[in-house]
Amino acid sequence: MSDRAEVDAVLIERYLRGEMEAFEQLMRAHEDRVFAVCLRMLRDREAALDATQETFITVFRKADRFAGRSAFGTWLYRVAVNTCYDHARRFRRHLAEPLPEGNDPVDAAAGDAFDSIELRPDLEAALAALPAEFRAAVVLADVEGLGLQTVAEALGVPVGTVKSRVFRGRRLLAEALGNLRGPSDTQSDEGNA
Amino acid sequence: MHRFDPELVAALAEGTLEAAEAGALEAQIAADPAALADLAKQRAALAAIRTAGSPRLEDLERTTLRAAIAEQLGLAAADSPAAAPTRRVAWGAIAVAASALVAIVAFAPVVGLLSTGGSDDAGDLTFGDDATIVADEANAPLGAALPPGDDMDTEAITTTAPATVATGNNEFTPAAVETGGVERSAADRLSVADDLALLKGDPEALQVLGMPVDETTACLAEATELLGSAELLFFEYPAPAEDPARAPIVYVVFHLPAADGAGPGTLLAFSPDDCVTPIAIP
Repeated sequence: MSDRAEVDAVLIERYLRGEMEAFEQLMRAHEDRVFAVCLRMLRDREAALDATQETFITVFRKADRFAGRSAFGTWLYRVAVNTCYDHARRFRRHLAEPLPEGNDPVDAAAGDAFDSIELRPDLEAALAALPAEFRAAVVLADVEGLGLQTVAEALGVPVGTVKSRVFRGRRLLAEALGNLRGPSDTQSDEGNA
Repeated sequence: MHRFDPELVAALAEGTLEAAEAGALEAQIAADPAALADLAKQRAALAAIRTAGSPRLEDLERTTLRAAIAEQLGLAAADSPAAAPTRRVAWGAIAVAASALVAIVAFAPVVGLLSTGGSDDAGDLTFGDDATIVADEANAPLGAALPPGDDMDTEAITTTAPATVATGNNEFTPAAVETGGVERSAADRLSVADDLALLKGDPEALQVLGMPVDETTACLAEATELLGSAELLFFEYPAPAEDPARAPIVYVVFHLPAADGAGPGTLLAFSPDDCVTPIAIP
């Protein structure tokens, strides 16, 4: 078990014994990751914040059901992804629809200066164009860097399905990036790949 | 389409193959335009992801989030704002306020695929080989490898999502959820194919059963890709397992109506926990 997983296991135990400060430590350790996943799944900052809040409420209300056989982080990711799916279903958001120009909530402080250091708007738009199931796999495996087994557990699908979705998702992502940037940019990227 | 194992192509793009194997594979792929294009796409996607930043909470968002959660859980938040937030936070207003601040964003180190799946025995695996578990969790920042289905109590989670995704208007039964990750027997699959072939001969029944898909329909992405259309209907087909000790299996059946309205169209069935291997209905 990784160091983070060991620390999480101890904190969960302490929280279940009534130590609220342990809950705060857990949340602080994971809030950015959960938010990042929600934002990439929902592509709307407000919705992502809502989903992040819901995720932690769910996890900590149901923490007594966490038996510790998997890593807390894996369980947390699963709740986050399912919460995002819930949001999408509840509000019927069209996650693949491109946003109006100049109004990209993913890049709240929109401007050319932020392209190189913050989120890449073209990447975020391309991710949003993926089918939800492929997007979840690519976000968790490639963007968050989770192992395929962890992704499989988080998504509740076999490892083979994760591999397939990651492969297909990357393919669609590259095609979407090519469409967003035009032929000359695509050629220069392929030259650098 | 090309003849190369997608998993090997992915591993080559990730840079996780041994040098000799990578070199040999690259040389073979170079002679296959379709495979070369696929490899380029894998690399382009990974390159884009590796140069992307990672979104982070703004300070005001973070403070408000913590306070809202603490309030909902009935806890005292040490860093809550002076005014206690309402149950549903007006995140829109918070986001506007946060965007007016200077955002200092650090690049999150992208672990990427160089450290994931590093010890995969890629040569022996196919995407459908659910029996093989990825061994390399050492570099995963969270978690360790576990048997599938262990500790994944979906009832503990907000939604009633099954092994993949809950549909908008048809919930999978808990029995189907608990079978997540269990490989279907060939006999089960043949039985399903036979049953659905009979159904296919009854276009009126198909018309009654079919419901519009939505973005949360399990295996929708795979069905859309294989059938070449997003204009699909679907229905659930609960099939008792051949082994009575096993829970019934609820298949997701996609129906692509015939373009000209004549004939039953195409049916494709998936077990919801295995979107890789569909059952084609003759």
